[in-house]
Amino acid sequence: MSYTRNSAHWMPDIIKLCDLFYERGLTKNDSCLKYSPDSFTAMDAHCNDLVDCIKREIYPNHPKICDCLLDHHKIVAVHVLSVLKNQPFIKKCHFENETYVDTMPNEHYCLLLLQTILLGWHKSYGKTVRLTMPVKYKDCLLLLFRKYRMSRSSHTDDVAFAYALSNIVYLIDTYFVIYA
Amino acid sequence: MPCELKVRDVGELSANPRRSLTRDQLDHIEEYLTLKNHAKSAKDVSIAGGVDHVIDNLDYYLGVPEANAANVIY
Repeated sequence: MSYTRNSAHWMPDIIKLCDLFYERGLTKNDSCLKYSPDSFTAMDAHCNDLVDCIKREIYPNHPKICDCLLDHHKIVAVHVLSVLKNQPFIKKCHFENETYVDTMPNEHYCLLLLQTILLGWHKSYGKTVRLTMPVKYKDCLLLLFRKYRMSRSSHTDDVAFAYALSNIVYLIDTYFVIYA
Repeated sequence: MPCELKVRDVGELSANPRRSLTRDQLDHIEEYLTLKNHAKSAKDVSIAGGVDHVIDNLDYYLGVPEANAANVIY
């Protein structure tokens, strides 16, 4: 990819979100749950590759692919998939006082990232919003993220799940974002 | 990027999908189909405020049942 994707400037905020999630959302246990900030370099590169791949599918004949835009649902999906593939958190074993969030740290981080980008997007449009995703739906999303992370699809260049997830993000954006 | 369809045309197409298209609309339909949802570039969007908001309301956004949804407005 010979251009910088439009969302590349989000990386410092994406890393900050992960740092704060690690500090405030997870139980510290260095031997069982490891945080690897180094993974963000690979994640950033993977985002670039996914964006480029999807753009080339959607705009096959466009002479200047860097000028083509993806909707924000696909952009959210791309970032979530990059986290699931590159996994900033390594879970080695179960431990005492472990919480549900600790059991699936990468998936919970993806849940936060998805909501953060949607909120940030609406905020940039000057909209005051509430995100009211039901807890049961969040649970289903976490399980879906886990299923993808553990599947063979996450180790291939196939972008079918990116399209599927972007459709889910569209539904979340449509039905669970409420304008104040 | 050039796209000659006006916002009004886009609304009309969705509202009445079986209506015959004008020659002008047909000329630009490919661009319309590709570009209709791409109004804003991520270059112009910041997620920094979203990070602070989500972290300040971490339990709510993680789905902790006790978190008070009524207070979480961005």
